[in-house]
Amino acid sequence: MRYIFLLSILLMGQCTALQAQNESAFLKGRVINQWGQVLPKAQVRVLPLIECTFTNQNGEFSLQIKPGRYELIIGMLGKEEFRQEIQMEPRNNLTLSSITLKDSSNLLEEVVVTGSLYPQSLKQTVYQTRVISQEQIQLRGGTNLQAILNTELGIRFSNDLILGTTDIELLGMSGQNVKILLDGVPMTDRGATRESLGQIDINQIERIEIVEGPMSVMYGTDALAGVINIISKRSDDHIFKINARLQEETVAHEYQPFTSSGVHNASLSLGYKKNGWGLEGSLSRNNFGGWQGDKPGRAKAWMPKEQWLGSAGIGYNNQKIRISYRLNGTDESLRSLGDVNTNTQMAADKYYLTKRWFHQLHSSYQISDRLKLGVQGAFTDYSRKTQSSNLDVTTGNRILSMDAGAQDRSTFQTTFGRGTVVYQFSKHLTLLGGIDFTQNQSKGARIQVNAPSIRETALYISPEFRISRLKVRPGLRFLKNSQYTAPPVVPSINSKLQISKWLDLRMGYARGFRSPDLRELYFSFFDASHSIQGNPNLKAEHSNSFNASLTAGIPFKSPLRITSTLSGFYNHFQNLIGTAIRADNPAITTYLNIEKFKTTGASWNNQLFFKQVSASIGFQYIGRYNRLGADALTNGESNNFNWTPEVNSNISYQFKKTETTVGISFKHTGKQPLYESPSDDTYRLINRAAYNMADLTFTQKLGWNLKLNGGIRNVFNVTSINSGSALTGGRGHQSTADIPLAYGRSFFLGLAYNWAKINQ
Amino acid sequence: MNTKLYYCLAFIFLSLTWSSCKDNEISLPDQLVQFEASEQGMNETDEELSIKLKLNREATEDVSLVIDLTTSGITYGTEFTTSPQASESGIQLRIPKGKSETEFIIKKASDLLLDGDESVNFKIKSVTAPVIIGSTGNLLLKFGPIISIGTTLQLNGLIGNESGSSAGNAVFVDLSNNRQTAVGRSSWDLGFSNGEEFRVIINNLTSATARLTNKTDLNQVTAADTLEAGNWSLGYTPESFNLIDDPLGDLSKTVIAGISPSDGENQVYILNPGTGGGLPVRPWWKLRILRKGNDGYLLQYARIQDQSFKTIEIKKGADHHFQYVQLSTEAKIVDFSPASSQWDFRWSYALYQTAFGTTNIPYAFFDLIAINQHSGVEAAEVMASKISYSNFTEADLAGITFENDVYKIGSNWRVTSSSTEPVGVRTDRYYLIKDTTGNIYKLRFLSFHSNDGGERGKPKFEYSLVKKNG
Repeated sequence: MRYIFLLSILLMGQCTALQAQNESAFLKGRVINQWGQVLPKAQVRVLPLIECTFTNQNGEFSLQIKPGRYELIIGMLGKEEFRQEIQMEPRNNLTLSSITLKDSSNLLEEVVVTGSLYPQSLKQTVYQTRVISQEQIQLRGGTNLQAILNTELGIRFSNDLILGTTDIELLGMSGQNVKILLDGVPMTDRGATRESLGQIDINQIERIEIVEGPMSVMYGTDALAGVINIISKRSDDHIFKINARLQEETVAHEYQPFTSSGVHNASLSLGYKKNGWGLEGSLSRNNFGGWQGDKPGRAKAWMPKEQWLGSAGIGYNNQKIRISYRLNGTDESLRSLGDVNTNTQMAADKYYLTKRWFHQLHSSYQISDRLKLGVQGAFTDYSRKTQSSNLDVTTGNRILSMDAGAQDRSTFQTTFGRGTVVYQFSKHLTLLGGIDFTQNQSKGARIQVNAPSIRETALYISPEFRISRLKVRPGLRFLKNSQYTAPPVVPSINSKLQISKWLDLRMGYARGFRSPDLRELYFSFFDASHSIQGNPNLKAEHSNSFNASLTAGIPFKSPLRITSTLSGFYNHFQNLIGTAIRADNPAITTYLNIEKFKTTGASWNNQLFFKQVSASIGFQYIGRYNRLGADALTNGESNNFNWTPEVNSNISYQFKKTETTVGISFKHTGKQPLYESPSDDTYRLINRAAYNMADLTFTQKLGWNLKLNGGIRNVFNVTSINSGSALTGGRGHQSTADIPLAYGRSFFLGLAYNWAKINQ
Repeated sequence: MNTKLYYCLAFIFLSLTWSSCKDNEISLPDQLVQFEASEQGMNETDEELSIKLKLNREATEDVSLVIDLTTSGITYGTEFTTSPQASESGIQLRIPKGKSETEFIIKKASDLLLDGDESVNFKIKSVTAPVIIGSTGNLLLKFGPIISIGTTLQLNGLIGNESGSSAGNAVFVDLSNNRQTAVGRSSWDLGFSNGEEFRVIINNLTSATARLTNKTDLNQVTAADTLEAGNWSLGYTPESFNLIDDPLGDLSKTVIAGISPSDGENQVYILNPGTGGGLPVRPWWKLRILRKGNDGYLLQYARIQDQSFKTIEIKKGADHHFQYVQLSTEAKIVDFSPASSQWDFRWSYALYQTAFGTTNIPYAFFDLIAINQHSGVEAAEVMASKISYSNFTEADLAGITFENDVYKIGSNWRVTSSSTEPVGVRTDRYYLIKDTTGNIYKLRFLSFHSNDGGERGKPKFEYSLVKKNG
């Protein structure tokens, strides 16, 4: 399976060879499966040392280590882990002739990095982590992340058709409470909306890791609802590779080949690595022609978008040092076309032009067997320009609009630095600590002129204790912010108990927080009836979060494998920043720490692998409570959680003979009850309609390194759902009853070319 | 092999750089200079008149222009002059860099007797590059009232660099005379009725609010009196109506009660001059108004913390609906609106009302058009689906019902935010306006917002005479 190969390569990338020592001796071994076949590329670790190695083509490994007592751990995807205590004597080699790795009863050997400094298997990590693998991403054939994530439990998307942006909601919390990381480094967004999620090249993603619940100790602000860590593809040693992709997609019924209507994706990436030096580069074009919908004129229901996404990277590693630099560039143009003003035959168009330069530096240093240092740095240079122009439709002349507010350019700059240290005291205690630094600076028409830059410095420490089958990982983060009084310390504790060989229990408590952003502190917007002002006296939002999960890898005789996870969470958010009318001047709306919010829920996820079938089914039930302020109860809001069910399923089947894979992804999002406020002192319960999303997809190998990919997206032809809202406003405040979700059933066909050559 | 690879990578880098450098470069509109209208009249009572020349955007460098004039039945120098004076080659004017207009003044000789058919034709003879002469390069000035057959006007709602969505001017329009008068909407605080009633209005163009104290001595009112009353500023609640005048202009429902002939019944009010529409916060006033004889008012005013007060006498006038007073250390009577017969409608930010749930609340609108209801102006809305603007003629007036509702046009002519209609002027309707002298014009709005190709704060409309008075 190519899948295992990829992961092994990834693991290999994280190992460094052991060093010769005077007193040391060789530990040698050979790894086989239960039928006696050798197993290459199994990961070999010797605790408490941090280093690891892999078995060669003959299933053999050899490590030179100092005398002492160790624990040997050998792992491989799809196999049960092998563990054995070993005693190394001075200059006395130890050979273990046949170490047998049995087929695993579950797939919990998948490797994740979120929340940790070195890769850990899903089974080992103390966080309940979801992984969307490369195979799933490929099978879905998506051209953006939204197309991959929209059938995940607990994830919803909301679309702002006026601004052309899409925001994510995780476990009932909107975008600004979701931390988006690219290889562990936070992405910058200009406001509350997580636009960055749509500005990542899907062709460069290796896998996606989702951790629900606050990870504020490790990742700081914004991680209240959870973390989405996008892991990008890395070059493999001695390999020269070329990947290319061309995909055409309809937008509902609208399509023109390669231009205008429809979705057109083209991508090329190259990578090369030799003698420790690696080079890589990629360029993708993502063109969305917009969707006319039921709009009669020039204006479209969904505005056209053209994206260029590029990356370039260089890296070097030897036995001690690993260092890489990567630049991701995004160039996005959204074109909001105006209807023709029939009185003047002029049409006013607005272009939203976004540029993002995201520089990243990753490095790690192996100081000694037990000590590893890591340094990460990132700089984001982001600008968004609003360019308004008027087109004379009779002559075709286009000129810039002279309206005072029509041209705007906002810039955001984020500097980020992180230093981490991992020290393995003993096999019972590993210490992880780090320093974070973030500086945000912004300029734009709606930001107060003298808005200062915001600097946040944090120190965190998180030791991991291992006592027999119990792992406990407490953590503390100490904060200092230049512009507001940050919570001085943020705690968390996570634990994992291996109840039996196939049953793990995880429990955690974490305090999450979100620092007020630039907009909330320094926003300034005045017009006829709206005066919105930032509030520099805001405090951080914070939450108390509890979660527990029970994971069972139910042992069946091969080849059937089932894993099942039952989990629950409870979050209590306080000091949430909302808008309110200022007490001293009711004409001004400002941001205040007024809102409280609670969410709770349970989910049950099941995965099944049987021969060529891979299937998952999950259920989630989320309750949301009291969104509308402290006096909500007296005004008619109920004292209960409002529950929404969600069900999802992914099924794929592989026809081995023809090398075809077919898949179906499905999600049902249930009716969502929520309260709205028709006037100041009343609330009423409304229901946001339920909907189903499903994709039918296939991939077919063609030979010549080509792969065909196609399918139907949005099988149920969903466009918008009824919000249930009965609010109608006055002259300036018409509200819509429909929430736009998607543009209807679409079809796609793509061709991928993946060529790799091993250069020894 | 490796060389090829490096070429490939270099290509990617280059493509990246290219795609990031390319930018949709769109040119600015041509710089045009022109008169505001092609015909204007100078009334008998006007001693001087300013004529504006406007650029469609700020001058990128100093602009010089020459205006040629041709007289008919009137002599330059003796019967009228201009400032600056005309030389052999014409009137020399300059628009400095960064400005977008200039003007010259026409002055009539005093005691001049005219027939009313004298005129001067002004023509923009030349202008320095890159500016070019726009379509209204001629102005015919008649020395008598005119009845315009219609033109296109762009209102000058902006005082300076304020945002178009917080335009500082109120603009009065006289259709028959092709004339607009732009005045800062915060230039006055109190309006004293010239009618038979003794009523005083507060400024609804700044969202000013006022509240009654239970005291009759101004000196007894202190900062403490501003506290217990709670909110003095407008909120989105029906109770806020108690702080303002009737939004429809009913003079019997002003927040300041009718001024009583017996002084003892006239109590002190506290006035918050309002910050509506992006205005800076200004200090509050305490004031008490008494009658002065049968045709005047006496205003006592002071800052809240002052121990003494000042007074100003306001005598009722005839030409205007109100005498406007600006409060300051020395309050003074100011010009705000043109004479009541010389404007048909006013475009401005103004406080009006909107539906909120089941009730109305005070709500401020930009671009609110108020017709001059007290001088008999009436308006009607016509849907283009019935008869198009261009096809509408005098014959179609039958079946049209004119109304004197002050906000008949109101904010109905444009959309600022909607999920169902495009933002911009509504092209599906136009208006009929019966002006102060009974002329009927049809009028349609062309643009007012970046979304309809216009500029916020500078609405543009065209109008055309349908029926002359009489």
